[in-house]
Amino acid sequence: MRKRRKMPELNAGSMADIAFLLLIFFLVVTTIAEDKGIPVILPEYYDGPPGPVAMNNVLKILVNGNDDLLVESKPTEIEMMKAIVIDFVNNPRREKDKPITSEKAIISLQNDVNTSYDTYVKIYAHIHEAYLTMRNEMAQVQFQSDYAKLAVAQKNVILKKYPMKLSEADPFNISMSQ
Amino acid sequence: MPFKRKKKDSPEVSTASLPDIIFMLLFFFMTVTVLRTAAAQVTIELPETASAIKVNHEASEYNIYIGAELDRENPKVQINEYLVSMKQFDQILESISKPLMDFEKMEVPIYLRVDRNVKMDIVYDVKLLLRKHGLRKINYIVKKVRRAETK
Repeated sequence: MRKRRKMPELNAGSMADIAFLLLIFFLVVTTIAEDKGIPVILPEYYDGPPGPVAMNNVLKILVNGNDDLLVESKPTEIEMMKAIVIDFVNNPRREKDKPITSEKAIISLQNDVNTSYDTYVKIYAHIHEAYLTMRNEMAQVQFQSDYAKLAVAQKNVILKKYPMKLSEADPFNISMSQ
Repeated sequence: MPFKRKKKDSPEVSTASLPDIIFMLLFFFMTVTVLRTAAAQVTIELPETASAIKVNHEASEYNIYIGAELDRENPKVQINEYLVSMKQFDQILESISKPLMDFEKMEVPIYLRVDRNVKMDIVYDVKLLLRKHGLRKINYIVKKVRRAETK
């Protein structure tokens, strides 16, 4: 039997190495950007006079152009916001100037045109965190589970009890109104 | 026609297909990793907060950047890769929202990356336009830090 002459072969073994190198290069180079954010559902566009709201249901937050905070006419630090919101919404001492039930609570945030976005987001994050905490607490009491792990129907029960109602008025301009 | 059976020298493991397999892997990773193509053309230093939630990116998302252009004072609005004036921004939002049903508009994820030093008036204008066009699902992208480090 005639032995077949061997073809000059291309060394394919090193091709794998080259491809591997490329693969590893891409694996290392692509950094999956892990963004963190605060989810928000903006209120529906409404162009008209505001409806009547009982004043005891509203937590008034004013922020001026120097990023100073005024909560219910009292100067406040941003770090205090979470505790204030929880105390306001839950109203554990049944105070008259706070909502009777948590679902009625409205948080009104009024910014100056010169308020920095930084301050705004920090306040927003505190309010958001306050609501997350309250929802989690209720989830633990009612369903013995974290809020995030609940089924949609159970989540809705909690959302009904703790809807985050945030009213953001047009930013005003203190320097203009003075 | 009778075929003559060719006899092989020895049963060799073919390594020729190995590069193909690796290339397949390579292409898989290249296509799966979604790179954010639009880079911010404005300088943005994200605000820092202690609480934030992980963001899941979607293909249909829109990214809005608000920050000052390089060596300029006034903040500018950028949507995806376009630097826009407020009027153009309005038109772009119009073109996004017009073909959508109301419930679909609520599904369009919009990510706001705003420089921490930007004043609220421009942020408010942007949000007002978003509301007008029914694009209400937004997300403030922040930098999450531990509580003690917040500036």
